[in-house]
Amino acid sequence: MTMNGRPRNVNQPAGICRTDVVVRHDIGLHARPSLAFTRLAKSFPCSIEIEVNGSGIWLNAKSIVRIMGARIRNGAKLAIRAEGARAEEAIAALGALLESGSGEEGQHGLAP
Amino acid sequence: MASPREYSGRPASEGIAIGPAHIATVPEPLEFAAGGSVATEKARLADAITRAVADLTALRAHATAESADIVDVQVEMLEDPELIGAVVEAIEAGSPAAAAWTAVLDRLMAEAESDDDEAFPSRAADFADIRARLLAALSGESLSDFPKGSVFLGRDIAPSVFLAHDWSAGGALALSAGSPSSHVAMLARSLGVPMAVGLGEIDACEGEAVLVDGTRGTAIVNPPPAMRQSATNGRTAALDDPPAGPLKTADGEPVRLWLNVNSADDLNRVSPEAIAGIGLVRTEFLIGEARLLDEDFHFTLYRQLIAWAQGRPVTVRLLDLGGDKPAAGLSASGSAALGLRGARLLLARPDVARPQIRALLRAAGDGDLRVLVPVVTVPAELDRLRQMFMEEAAALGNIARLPQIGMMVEVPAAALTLDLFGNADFFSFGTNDLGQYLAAAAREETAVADLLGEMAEPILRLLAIACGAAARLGRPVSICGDMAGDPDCAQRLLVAGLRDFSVAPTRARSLRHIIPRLRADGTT
Repeated sequence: MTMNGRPRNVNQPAGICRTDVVVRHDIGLHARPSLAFTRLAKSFPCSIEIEVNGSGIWLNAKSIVRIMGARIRNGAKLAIRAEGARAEEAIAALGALLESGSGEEGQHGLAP
Repeated sequence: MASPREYSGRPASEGIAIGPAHIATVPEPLEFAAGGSVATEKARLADAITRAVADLTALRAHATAESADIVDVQVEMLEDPELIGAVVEAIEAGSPAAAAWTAVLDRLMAEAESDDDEAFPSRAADFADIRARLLAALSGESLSDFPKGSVFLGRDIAPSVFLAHDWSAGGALALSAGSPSSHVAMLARSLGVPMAVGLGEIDACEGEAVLVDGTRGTAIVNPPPAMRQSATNGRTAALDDPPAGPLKTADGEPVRLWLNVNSADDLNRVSPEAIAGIGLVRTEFLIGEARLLDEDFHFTLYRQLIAWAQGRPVTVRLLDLGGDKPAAGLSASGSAALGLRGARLLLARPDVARPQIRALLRAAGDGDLRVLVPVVTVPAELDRLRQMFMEEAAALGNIARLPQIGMMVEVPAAALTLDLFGNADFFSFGTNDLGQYLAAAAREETAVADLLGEMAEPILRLLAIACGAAARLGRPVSICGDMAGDPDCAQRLLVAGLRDFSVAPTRARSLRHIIPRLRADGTT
């Protein structure tokens, strides 16, 4: 699996998809991006985990307690790995969400 | 009579209020009855989570966007697979559901409290909140409210308790712990509820008078009479309702606050006596897509607004479609921020403009109805729209006079050449669009959002120019964009010549609070 042209990590066991992204907004800072992230993760049947800044600690991407607790800042390097049905699709969608910053909706909707 | 006792902490939400103390009960150390079988306890947990989620969802029904976010996060926490997994594990090890839930949440709260980073909203209060909510659901009780108008004294307050409480009668929060970056502090600021945190243990009896100064971050139990008087004045000035009398700057310039109406609910949050009038009705938000072309629906809405305002002006903006507010069937190609939107779209699509124009003409006889034209770039656009009003008035037959027709100043070209717009009856600055056009940075583009945040200086310089031109034309000016409600910009807006600020209900309080401290002549 390659994402954004990066080669697959050779140490990953077979069947696990992985991508690395640079985060484009403060996930842990605001409620809405964290919600958008965990809700999107939960929409996939596979197991999904994230690792922040190469910490070696993998967190359940479907857990808002974990995601908010990780305090992921704008510019953080995030690895996402998924295993199971629709794993490739899941990491593509989650990677795109983090890189686009599109979880922060509704900021400018109600204004002249 | 007991002597005053002052406690010093940190400010969390500005304003001063006084009220009888409500002492939050300290939760008793929980004793859990022996649970049922593992299967029974798991079923009780699942059932309580369903009930707690339903309670929260009910709370969400009348929540503002900000409050809704907080409720959504709590629902997501209650359904968190990791959290539930840990609780189920404890149940399987032999704990009753309530004990297992408490143990896991206590651990999370301890983690959240030890990991205190001011840049992040504190989660500890959210954990405490869902802990209490689920325990209540397990025991079949509901979370308790407290008397209206009282000052809440406690270690911290659960966001859902804050949300469920009726703050219309005033009141304040004095917390021995707490944080200015907590969710509750955000909510308190948006509702204008004074709040001080980090006060330490407060010695007070239930019902004893407590004064909270959320601006200084202090609380005084049993304050001296003179202080009570000034606090009462302070509170009146900080609230919309009842009216606080004429608003003036420190150097005596009268300032008028107007209301921006985005939803019917906004009218319930302010009394008409507290404002000069409705400065902006965003009709595209009040009228659903299906009704945009329904003349009678428009007419009924305007009649309602006029009746509510009781003789005060009601400024209705023509449908501002296109840009970031697309409407089905109208937002085909070319209606992005730089395309067919506002006045341009209305002129290109008279079938969209005319039903609203007819409704406005019919309702105008009932009160002081004024019309605001969005996204005007050159004077000819305004002429052509006025022409449409005249044509429709002639067709209707019995229209005595046209309503005043003013324009939104939100395109830089118009702002720079406002002296050419003698055909406008009044001007209203739309600073949000002005910002995006000055920055060449679209409002819905997150990647350039930082640039928009830095547009205050360019906008203020342009407003100073435009206000000068409007004054020479002898036309009234007001401001209705987000900048109008920004206390940090108020001083310079006053210096530029603005005296009429049209803001959302929640912003009126902080403006009332700050304007009497500012000078309009630019001196300090």
